[in-house]
Amino acid sequence: MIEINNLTKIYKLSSNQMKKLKTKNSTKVAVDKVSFSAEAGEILGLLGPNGAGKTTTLRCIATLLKPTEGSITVQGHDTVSEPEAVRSSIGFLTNEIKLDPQFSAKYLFHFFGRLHKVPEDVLEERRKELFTYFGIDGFEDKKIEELSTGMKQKAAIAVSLVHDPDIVIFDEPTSGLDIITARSVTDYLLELKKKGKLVIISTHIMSEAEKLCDRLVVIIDGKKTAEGTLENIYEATGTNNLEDAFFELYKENHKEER
Amino acid sequence: MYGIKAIVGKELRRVFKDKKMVMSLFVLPVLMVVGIFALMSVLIKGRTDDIEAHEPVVYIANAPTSFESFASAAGLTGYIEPALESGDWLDNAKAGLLDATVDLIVCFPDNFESAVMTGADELASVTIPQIEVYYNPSEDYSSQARSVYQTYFEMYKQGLLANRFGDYSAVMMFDVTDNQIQDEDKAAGKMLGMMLPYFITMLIFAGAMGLGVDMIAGEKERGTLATMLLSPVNRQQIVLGKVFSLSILAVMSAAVYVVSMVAAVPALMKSVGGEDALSGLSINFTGVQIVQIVVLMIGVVLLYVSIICMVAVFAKNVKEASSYITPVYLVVIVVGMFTMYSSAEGVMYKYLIPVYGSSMAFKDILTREITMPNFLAAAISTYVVAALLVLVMTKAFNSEKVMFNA
Repeated sequence: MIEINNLTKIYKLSSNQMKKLKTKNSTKVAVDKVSFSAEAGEILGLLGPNGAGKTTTLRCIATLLKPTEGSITVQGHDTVSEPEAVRSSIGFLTNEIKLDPQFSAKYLFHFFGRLHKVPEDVLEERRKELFTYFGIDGFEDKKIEELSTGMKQKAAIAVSLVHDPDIVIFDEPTSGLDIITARSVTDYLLELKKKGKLVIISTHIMSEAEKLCDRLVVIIDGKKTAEGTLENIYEATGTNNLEDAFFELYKENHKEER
Repeated sequence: MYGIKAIVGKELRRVFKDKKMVMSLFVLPVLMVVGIFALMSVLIKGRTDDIEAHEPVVYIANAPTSFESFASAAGLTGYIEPALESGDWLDNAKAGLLDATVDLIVCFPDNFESAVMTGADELASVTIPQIEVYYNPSEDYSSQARSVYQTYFEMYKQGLLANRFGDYSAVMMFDVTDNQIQDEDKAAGKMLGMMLPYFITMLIFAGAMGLGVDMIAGEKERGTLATMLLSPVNRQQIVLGKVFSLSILAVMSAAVYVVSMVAAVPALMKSVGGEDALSGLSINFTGVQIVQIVVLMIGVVLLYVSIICMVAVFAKNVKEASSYITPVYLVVIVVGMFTMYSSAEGVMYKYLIPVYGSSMAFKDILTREITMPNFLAAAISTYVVAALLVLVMTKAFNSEKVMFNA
C-alpha cells in the first residue's frame, strides 16, 4: 500500500524559468500538503488538469523526486530513506521516461530484468507472457526506434512490469495511443487489479477515469480538492457525471492569478 | 556488482552492434592514420625526387681557368657563362632568381686566379678573394643548387690548397670524429617520455569524448537514463558501469590508433628513406617499468573518463555537454604539453597534482628516473581523484536538480 502524508513539493526556479513563467516568485509550489492512501487490489486515479501536480506526485512516489515536506511510504518503506526498496516494489511509466532507441525490446526487457535481479528463467517466462499479451512478440528483435508509437508504448509498459511489481504507477498511460492500443492497456490494468496489485494512474481523460478507477483523488493547483469513489464525488458536487463534477470542483478551487 | 556488469554489457553492445559506431571509433582512425602517412610520404617523396631531378639554371660569371678545369674534371657541367659585355646581365639574372627562372648566380672576382695561384713562398702577399653567390632561399630548386655548389666549392678549395702546399693534409691540421656514448634505452625513453603523456591524453580524450557525452548527457536528454534510475540498482553502480564501459572503449580506440601507427609509420618512413629518424625509438622495458606503466595507465584512463563523465553528468543536454568539454580538453592538453618541456625533478608534491603528476611520472618511468615513492604518489593521487569524481557523480545521480532539472 501507499501512504502519502502532507506531501509538499516546492521547486526553486532559476531566473530563466522565472522569466518564462512571468513570475517574480523564486519558488513554485507544485504540490501543496496532499495526503491520501491507496490499498492493494484497487485502481486509484489522480485526476487534474495539466500542471496540477499529478506527475510531480507520482515522481515523488517513484523516488525520482524528494518531497520538500511530508512523507511517502510504499509497502512500509520510506521513499527518502529506503528508495531502493521502494523502487523494487513499483513499476513506473511516464511519457518522459523512454526506452533506448538503439536496442530491441527483447534486449531491454532482459537488461532491466537483470537490474531488478529477476532470475533468468522467470525473466524468460515473463517476457513470453507480457510480449504475447501486448502483441510485441513478433517485433521483439526490432530496435525500439523502428517501432510504431503504440508499439513503443506497449514495449515500455512490458519493460516497466519486468519484475512483477506489487504496485503499478502509470502517468497518463493511454496518451498518444490509438483507441485499440489504449483499450489493451486499460484492460491490462484491470487484469492487474484482479491479481491484487495496486494501480495508480494519472489522467485528465474523464471517461477513462470513470471506467477504470475505484477511487479518485482530484488535484487542482497542487491541492487535493476531492477524494473518494465516483459516487462520493457525484454526491459532493451534486452532479451525475465526472466531467460536470470536475468542472464544479475546478470553479470552486481554481483562483485566477492576477 | 550485478548492475555494473549489466550496464557495461549494454554500453559495449550499443557500440559494437552499431556499424556506424564501429566505423567511426575503430576503422576510420586506422584509415586516417595510414592514409595521412601514406599521402604524406608520397607527396614528400615526389617533391624530393622532383628537386633532385631538376636541372638547375646556374650563371657563373668570370669563371677562372682553374675552376673550368676543376669543373670538367669533377663532371660539373650545364652552367651558363653570361656575356659580361652587356652591363645589365646581373640585374636580369637577379630578377630571374625572384621569379624562379634562375636558381643560382656565382660571380668570381677579376683577381681570383692570381690570388689563389700565389705560391706558398709568397704568403705575405696573399689576399683573400670573395666569390659572390646569389640564391633565393624560398625556392627549393635554388636552395638545392646552392648546397650542391657549396660542396663543389669546398672540393675546388681543397684542390687549390693542395696546389699551393703540395698536399691538402698539410693544411687540414685536424679532423674531428664524434662518438656517441649513451644508454640507448634511456635516450629512446626520453623521446617517448616527451610524447607519450601527450599522446595518451589526446587519444583517450578523442576516443571517449563523443561517446561519454552521448552515454550520459544523451541518455539524460532522451529520457532513457530516468528508466534506469527507476530500477532498484544503486546509483554508484550506474556511475561505475558508465565509467568502466567508457574506459574500455577509450582504451580500445586508443590501442587501435597506436597499433596502426606503429605498424604503418615505419614502413612508410622507410619508403621515403627516413628510417634514421626511427632508429632511436626502439626500447626495452624492464618488468617493473611495465607494471608501473600499466598501473598508471589504468589510473589515467579512469581519471580522464571520469572527467568527461562528470562534465556530461552536469550538462543539461548533449549540446551543453559538448560545449563544456572542449575547454576541459584544452586544459588537459596544455597540462600535457607542460610536461613535454618541464620536469618534476623528483619533488614529491608535484607528483600529487592530478594530470600533471601522472604525466611527469610517465616521463620518469620511461627515462628510468622514477623513485618508488614518487611513483606511488602519482598513482595514488590519480586513483583517488578518479574515485572522488565518481563519488561526486553518484551524488549528482541522486540529485533531482541535476537529473531532472527540477
